[in-house]
Amino acid sequence: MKIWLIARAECMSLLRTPTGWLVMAGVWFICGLMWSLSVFAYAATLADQVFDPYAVERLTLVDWLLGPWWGNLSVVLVFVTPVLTMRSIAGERASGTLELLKTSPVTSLEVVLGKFFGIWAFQALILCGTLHAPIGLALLGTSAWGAVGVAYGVLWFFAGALTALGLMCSSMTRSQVLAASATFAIGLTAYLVGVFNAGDPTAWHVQLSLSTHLIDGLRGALRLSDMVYFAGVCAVCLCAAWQRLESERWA
Amino acid sequence: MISVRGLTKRYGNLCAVNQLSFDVARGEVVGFLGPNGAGKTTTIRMLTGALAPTEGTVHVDGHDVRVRPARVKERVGYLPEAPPLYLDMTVRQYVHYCGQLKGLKRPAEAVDKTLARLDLQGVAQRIVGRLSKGVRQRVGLAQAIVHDPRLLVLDEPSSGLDPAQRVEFRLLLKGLAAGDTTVLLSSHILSEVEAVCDRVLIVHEGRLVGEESIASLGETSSIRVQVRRPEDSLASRLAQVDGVIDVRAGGEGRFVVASSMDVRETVAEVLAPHGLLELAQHRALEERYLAATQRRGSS
Repeated sequence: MKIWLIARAECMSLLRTPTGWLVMAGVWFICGLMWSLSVFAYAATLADQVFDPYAVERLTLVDWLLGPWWGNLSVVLVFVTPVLTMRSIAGERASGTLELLKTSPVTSLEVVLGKFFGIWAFQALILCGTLHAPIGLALLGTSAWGAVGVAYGVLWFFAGALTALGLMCSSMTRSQVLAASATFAIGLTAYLVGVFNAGDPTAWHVQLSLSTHLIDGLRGALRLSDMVYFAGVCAVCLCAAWQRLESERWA
Repeated sequence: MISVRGLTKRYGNLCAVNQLSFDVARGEVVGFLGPNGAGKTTTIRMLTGALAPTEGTVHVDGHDVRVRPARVKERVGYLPEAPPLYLDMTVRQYVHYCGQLKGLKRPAEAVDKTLARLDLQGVAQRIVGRLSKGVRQRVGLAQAIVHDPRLLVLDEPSSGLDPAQRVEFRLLLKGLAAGDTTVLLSSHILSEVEAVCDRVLIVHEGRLVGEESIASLGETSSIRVQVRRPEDSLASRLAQVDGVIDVRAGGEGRFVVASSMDVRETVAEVLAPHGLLELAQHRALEERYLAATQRRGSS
């Protein structure tokens, strides 16, 4: 199995190029900034409610501080994932290196899975860099590790679904810009459909939204249906990318 | 080593390769010639497993490319016209990665050997994207030979190189061809093919239109002449010159004289009184190539 070989090369490629470091630094900077603003806003809210002990009890860290911040982090992932995935197949096709993979004893499925796990591992590194927030709270004596574990698990699966979507778009074209634009457009639409669900929350388009399956996880509630949804998005998109590469052989 | 039977590739109504059949023996170095759009690269891509044929079969070292693509790919080294380079890797990292992709379990030793063979040790730690075109071409060749393939397929390996780099690259190819590796070399540069190959296959419009051994080509040569005042008897007088095998008249005082030895001096003596305008020796391969492709083109 050459999956891990390709995954390692993909991840290392992101770590070797300025793109990977810029994305990582950008996410950490934006998240750090948002964390500072969230903490100040939370402190101000607490101060306002100081004479209402019941209100203070309702202002839990997960619901009022970490949850919204993780929500912001998920939006940032929608923006940066296309940058990570655009070069994975489209870039290889444009530079001619896809020919190297096609003429090596590696199957198209191994190429797609290798690229997926490589970028997914890189996103795990990005998410690890945002652990400063829950660790900082724990050092101050306030910990909610169960909710933190669930939220990060769901965020990682969410990032996986975006990565698979990006790989699918990247497999369809040789233009990195087109691949990134398509990933961003589809990813953002699939995210916003769930956010602006003014109508029936059980409607099929709301149920298909990425954000709908993220909300409970970011509040610390692990739902199997959400994980199955993200795994399903991954499977569908990766299958499409695999079939696209296979079809090139038979074109 | 290679057995191709009835190979066909269609893109909609366009037939890029049409019922192509040929064999290449183990250790043979074969040139693959043809004009642009003749179907050379398509054929090569089917040989290397990158493209599936519409019809026909390709066997490499006894394995059918369609049935056992992985077995075939392990045995083939391929350098496309544009070397498939990861520009952000160092030369060593790149060749190491390619070795692993090709199935080498411990590629370090093979990488060292390959870098030494292609004189790349000096740039082993340099980033591929910062190398000159000639060195990049050698790095591309390194990925093709790192796993010591039984069949090496080179598609226009000298394209884009300057004359000095071409000579250097030709010497490299000669070194590779001297081993027991089977080589299929697609090139537009006939002198390169003549210098390196044992045999040539000429394709045109997707069909095999000629097959010549380089040794047999060396037995004959031809000269192209033009005179200002041609006469009807001139062709027969040229045919009487010692060593001349055939004379073809081309109009406007042009003749092509095929011979088994160097007859330029005698032919010049015969033609001088008729106002000799041009006398140029043509390579036999070039003659055969033009004859094969133009005959098909005009038919």
